[in-house]
Amino acid sequence: MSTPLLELDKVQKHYKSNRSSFLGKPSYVKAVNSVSLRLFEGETLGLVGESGSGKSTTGQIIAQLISQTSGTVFYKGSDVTTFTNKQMKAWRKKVQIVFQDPYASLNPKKKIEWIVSEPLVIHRIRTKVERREKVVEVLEDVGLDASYLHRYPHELSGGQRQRVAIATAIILNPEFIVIDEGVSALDVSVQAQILNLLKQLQNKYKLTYLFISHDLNVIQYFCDRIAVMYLGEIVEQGRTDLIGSNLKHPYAQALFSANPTVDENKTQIVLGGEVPNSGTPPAGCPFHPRCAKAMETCSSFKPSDVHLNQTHVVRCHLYKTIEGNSKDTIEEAIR
Amino acid sequence: MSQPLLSVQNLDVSFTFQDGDYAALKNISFSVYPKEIVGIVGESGCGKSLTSHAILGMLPTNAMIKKGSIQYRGTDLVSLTNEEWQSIRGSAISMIFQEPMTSLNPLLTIGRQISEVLKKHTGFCNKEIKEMTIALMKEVGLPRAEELYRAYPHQLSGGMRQRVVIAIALIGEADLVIADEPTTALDVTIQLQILELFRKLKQTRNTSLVFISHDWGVIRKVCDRVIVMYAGHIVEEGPIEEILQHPKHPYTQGLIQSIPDYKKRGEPLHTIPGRVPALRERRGGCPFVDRCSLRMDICQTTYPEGKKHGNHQVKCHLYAQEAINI
Ligand SMILES: Nc1ncnc2c1ncn2[C@@H]1O[C@H](COP(=O)(O)OP(=O)(O)OP(=O)(O)O)[C@@H](O)[C@H]1O
Ligand SMILES: Nc1ncnc2c1ncn2[C@@H]1O[C@H](COP(=O)(O)OP(=O)(O)OP(=O)(O)O)[C@@H](O)[C@H]1O
Ligand SMILES: [Mg+2]
Ligand SMILES: [Mg+2]
Repeated sequence: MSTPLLELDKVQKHYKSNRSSFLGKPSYVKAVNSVSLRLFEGETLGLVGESGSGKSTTGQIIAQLISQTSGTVFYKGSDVTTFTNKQMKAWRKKVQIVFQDPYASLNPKKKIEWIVSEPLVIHRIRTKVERREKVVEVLEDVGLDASYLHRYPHELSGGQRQRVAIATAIILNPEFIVIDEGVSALDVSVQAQILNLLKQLQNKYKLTYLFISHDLNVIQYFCDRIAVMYLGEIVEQGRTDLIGSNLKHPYAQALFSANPTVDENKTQIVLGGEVPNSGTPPAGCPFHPRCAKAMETCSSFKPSDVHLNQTHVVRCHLYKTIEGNSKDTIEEAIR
Repeated sequence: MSQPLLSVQNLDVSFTFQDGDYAALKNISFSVYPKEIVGIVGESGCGKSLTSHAILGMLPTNAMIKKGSIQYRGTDLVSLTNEEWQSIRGSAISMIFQEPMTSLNPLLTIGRQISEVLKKHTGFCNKEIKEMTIALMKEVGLPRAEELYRAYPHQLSGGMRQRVVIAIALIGEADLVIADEPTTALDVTIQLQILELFRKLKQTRNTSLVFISHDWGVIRKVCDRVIVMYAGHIVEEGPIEEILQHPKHPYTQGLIQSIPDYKKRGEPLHTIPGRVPALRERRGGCPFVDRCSLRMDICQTTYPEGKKHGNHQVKCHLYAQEAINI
């Protein structure tokens, strides 16, 4: 197999928590817990899961806007922490991020022209006149136009701000974009335009996307593979066509059963129990307190990754690797 | 039918730019009845947030109401003074803003921000307020509430912030809650929990809700009725299933065809060609004319009147012959 464009190997991110700690020992929020992921050139991986499960944190580690507590991020096989300053600068041009909350990520004191051309300025590209042309071009790509150049972010609607953030991310022709809820403020027709644009760019430049979204209809339409997060861990990953009847992890099943659509009325798997706490995650499987299929082992032992086939990985005690079999001939273990 | 709780009539709102005034909302008329959940959908930039800001008396400084009325329980809000409007906000009408960070103070802890609002509405002592705050945080599904009480907004995930904003909006037990994309940052299971909470408020406290969202699945799940806006106008309105099954306005039809779906994988999504005219470019005639594949001559020149088909209303010349004027 070819080298992945990007790889996360057992990445963790722990934040010191605000909890007043017992006996003065600091406690930690395990925002991301042992996440391993690979992204190949030209593909789109959808990252879905619980709110607060660590998706944005994972995205920001990938773009190295925050550094991981442990684990390694590889880009084309090299560890990004070993990059020299010069390499890092070149790399930052190739890897872009569209933030979840455009209001918080766009500089409120600057006009749209300044914001969208900033990456060009930082990377010393083009003259002023050329920059303006390029800015207008990308604004038009995202369904805006030159009339927005002299506006401030607060003078735009939510979806217009979001499109400014997308324009800023694509202006440098990156190789990889983390799109964190990047189309979620858009009505479906503008969203369709943006998704078509992202696909076109992908086809033309072999762009790779990590696409974080709660909109499971968009995920199913747009992504080649999905990874489902729960409490800092990736509990299942595989090809998008698993969705439907082939998802294995009980959390992933519950999540997709709750997806509201316009043409069906599904029976929803209701999740009982308290919302989990990443400060004191449960022992064993993080999902076991809410899992209808939990067994005794689930509360004491952490499940490890089970490779059901080459692309389908699930972290759950219900399934196990049959000894002696190669990774792609694994049967479902019988309870 | 009972009296509407909120009735907006012929509302026009304009922005003042250096070179003149430009209309951003034109002829907006709709009502919300007690215990009703009304959805608003429409193209990004069409004026959904602006409409809700007008109802709350929170228009940006360069915008103003040119004409029309906004009646709440029969009182016209447009003529209120700032103080009067202040007393309505939060207790009679409350708002969940589109981007959580627009309404949270980055320098104050979550606990403090919720408590301040609670104090204003209840007058309890600090200890009780703290307990109430934590109970409220749990009610909207926030995990580790005791700890997040001491956290700052940047330490929360997007969906956690959104739940804080929802919690704050529910404190005053307002009769009308305007929720602007309130669940976009929530995963579908928590989203359902919040939608359930809204439905419960409707049942137990007769709360009405205006629900702005682009997510038709969610709209279908909670709304009784839906309003479709385009370029500052209301173009269609009706019961949600009716609009989904039989959209009349070409814009609504295009919108519904653009809904992403697994079955459309591998092919480009349907889009509506062209883009919404900028404020300065808006002229008379039908606002959708430049992008409409079914346009006729009259659409260029004459603004279409509203037509009623039962409880389904549409503003489009295609239906001129068929229905009753409103
Ligand atoms: N700077 C920080 N300090 C402390 N805790 C943090 C910080 N940033 C994030 N967290 C915590 O890390 C966890 C994961 O947050 P993250 O933003 O990655 O979630 P998410 O999956 O993107 O959620 P959402 O879907 O709601 O956006 C949350 O519990 C959050 O409170
Ligand atoms: N302060 C302002 N000055 C000038 N124009 C503004 C200002 N605020 C908003 N606008 C414009 O008014 C129009 C309506 O904005 P509004 O925020 O109501 O849109 P919206 O329907 O909520 O869109 P979205 O779905 O993208 O949030 C937009 O075209 C926007 O650019
Ligand atoms: Mg997030
Ligand atoms: Mg808006």
